[in-house]
Amino acid sequence: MTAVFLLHHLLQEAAQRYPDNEAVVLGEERVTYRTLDQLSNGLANTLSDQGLQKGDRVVLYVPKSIAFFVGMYGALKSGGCYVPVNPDAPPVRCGQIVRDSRAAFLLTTSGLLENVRAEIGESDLRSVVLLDDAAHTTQPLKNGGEPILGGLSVVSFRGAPQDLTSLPNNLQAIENDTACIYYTSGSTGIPKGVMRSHRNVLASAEFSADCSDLTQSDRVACPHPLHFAASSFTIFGACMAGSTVVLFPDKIAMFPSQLAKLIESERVSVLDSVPSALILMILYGSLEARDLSHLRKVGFGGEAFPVKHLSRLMALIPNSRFLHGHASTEAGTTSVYWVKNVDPNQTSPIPIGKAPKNVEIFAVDSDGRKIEKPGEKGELYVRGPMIMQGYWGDPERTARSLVKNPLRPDLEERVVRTGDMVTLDQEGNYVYLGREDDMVKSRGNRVELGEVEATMYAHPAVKEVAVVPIPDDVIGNRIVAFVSLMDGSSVKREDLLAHCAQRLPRYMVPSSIELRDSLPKNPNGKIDKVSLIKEEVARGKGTTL
Amino acid sequence: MKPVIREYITKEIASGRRSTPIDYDTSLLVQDILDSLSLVKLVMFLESNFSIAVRPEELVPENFSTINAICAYIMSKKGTPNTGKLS
Repeated sequence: MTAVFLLHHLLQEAAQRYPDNEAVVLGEERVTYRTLDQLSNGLANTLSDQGLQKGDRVVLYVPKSIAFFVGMYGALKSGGCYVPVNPDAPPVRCGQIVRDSRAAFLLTTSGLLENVRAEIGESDLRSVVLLDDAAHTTQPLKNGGEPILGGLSVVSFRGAPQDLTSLPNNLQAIENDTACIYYTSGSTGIPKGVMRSHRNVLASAEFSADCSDLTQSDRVACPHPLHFAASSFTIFGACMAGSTVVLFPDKIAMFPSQLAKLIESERVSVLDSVPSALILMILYGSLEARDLSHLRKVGFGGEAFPVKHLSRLMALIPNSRFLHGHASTEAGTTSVYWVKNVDPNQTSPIPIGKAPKNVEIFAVDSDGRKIEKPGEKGELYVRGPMIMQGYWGDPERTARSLVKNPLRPDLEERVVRTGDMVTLDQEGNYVYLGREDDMVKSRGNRVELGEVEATMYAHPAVKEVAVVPIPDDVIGNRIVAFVSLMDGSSVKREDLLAHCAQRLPRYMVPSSIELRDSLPKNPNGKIDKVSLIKEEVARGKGTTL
Repeated sequence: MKPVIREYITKEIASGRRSTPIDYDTSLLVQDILDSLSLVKLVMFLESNFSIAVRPEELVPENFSTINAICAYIMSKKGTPNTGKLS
C-alpha cells in the first residue's frame, strides 16, 4: 500500500488504478488520469529546472481549462504551493496577488500574459511558464525560453521529461507543508490569502468523497470557479475516487437551459453548487424537459436557499438526495444537513446541521459558555484537520481567526473562530443566524463591504461612500453603493462603475450606485447604513427575480 | 432598437470593463460582458423595453450572441411567424 500524504499522490494513485478514466472534461476537451499525470510531470520537471525551491509560491493565472489542472498538479509535484487567481479579474488584481504571495513562478497562457505583463514587473517572479495547449501536447517540441520583462524568462514546458525520476529528492514536501493559498475578500481592500496544507486539503477530499459516496463511475460537476477553495474539495475528492470532474464552459454556464442540457448529456451524478445558480436553472432551465435520472446528489451552500425554490428543485429531481453544507475557505466544511421534506410554506431556515466525520464544531455564547439547548445563540468554532494554517503574511489577522480552543484553553491546539452566529434546533442541528461583521454573500461569493468601500474611496472624486447589502430573493444580496462626491465634482455613475470594474472581481462591483448630496448620519457621526438600506428596500428595489 | 440595446449593455452590463466599444456584431458571450446574472438582467430590460416575454427555451446562445442576434430575435417575437431560434 502506497502512502498518500501529499495532494499529488492522489493523482499518481488514480493514474495507476484508473489510467483510462476521464479525469477532467470541459466541453469537447477531455483528459485521462494517465495523461494528466504525464503532463503534470513535464511541468514539474520544468519548474525544477527553472530553480523552484520547496515551498515556492506558483501563481496560476489560467482560464477554466485542463491546463489549470496541469498547472496545479505540476506545481505540487515539484514541491511548490499553487496560488490560483481569477482569470476574469482585472490584471491589477493578479499583480496584487503575485506581489503579496511573493510568488516565484507565474503559470499562465500567452493571451493572459499580454494583459498582465504590465503588472508583474516589480515582483519576486523568477520565471513565467506558458501552459497554452497543455492538454494537446503529445509529441516533444523544443523547449522555448526568451528573456523578457527585464530579465524574467518565459518558458514553455513542452518537451520536458514526463517522468519524475530526475526530480531532486529535496523538493519532497510533507503533509504539514502549505499546498495552496486561496485568496478571498479582505475588509481593508487587499485580498487575503488562506493557506491550506496538504493535510488540510486531503481532509476536505476525504470528506467530499465520503459524503457523496464517490466511485470511479461518478461524474462530478464542478461549477465553482477554480480560484475558489470550494472547487478544491470537489476536484481532489473526485481524484481520490477516480471519478470524472465535469467543468461547465463559461458560454454554456450562463444559459440555464444549456447548462441543464449539459448536466443531462454528461450524465452528471453529483452536483455541488450555490443556490443562486440552482435557482436560475429552476426558473429558466426547463428542467422538466431533461432526463436527470443520473443525478443522485445535489449539494448547496454558501447562501440561503429560499424554500419555495428548493422544494421546486426537489420535486423536479426526485431521485436525488439534497445536502445543505456550511463551509468557509478558512475552516473547510463545518457542518452538513441532509434535506428530507421541505414544506414550501415554511418560514424557518434550512439548518446547517451537524459536523461531518473528523470535524468537531461547537458554539460559544457571549459568556464563553458552550451552547447546548435549542434556542441558545453563540459564535461557531471549528476544530479538525480541514482548518487553515493561517492567512499568508498576516499574523495579526491569523491570530484573530485561529485561536486557542475557548473550551480547552489548557491546550495549544488552534481552532477557527468563524464569525458565524448560530443557534440550535430541537434535533440538535445548528441553524445559521448571520455574521458579526461586514462580510456578506452575493451569488455565493464573499464580499467584504469594506473592500468595496476602500476601492471606491480610491477614486479622487469620492467624498463619502457607504456600500450596503440589499436582500435579493435569487442572489442573496445585491451590493449597492451610496456616494457623495467632492465639491465641484462632475463625475458620473458610469465613471465610478468603471473605476470599480477595473479593480474588483465582477461580483463585488456594485449593482447600482446612487449619488447623493450627502449621506445620512447616526447620532455618533457614522454613516447610517441601516436607514440607507430601509430607503432602498422601500423603493421596491429589494426584490425577487 | 440597436442603439438602445447597445447603450444599455455598455452602461449597465459591461460597466466600463471593456476598453473597446461594443459593436453590433461584437460577441457578447464573453466573460467581461455577459455572465449568468447580467444575462438575466438584460432579459428583464428587453422584456420591459420591447414588450416581449422571453421563454426559457429561447434563452440560448444563438439569440444573444451579438446585438444583431438580439434584434433578430426580438423582431421574430414581435412580428410575424417565429423565426427566432428555439433550442
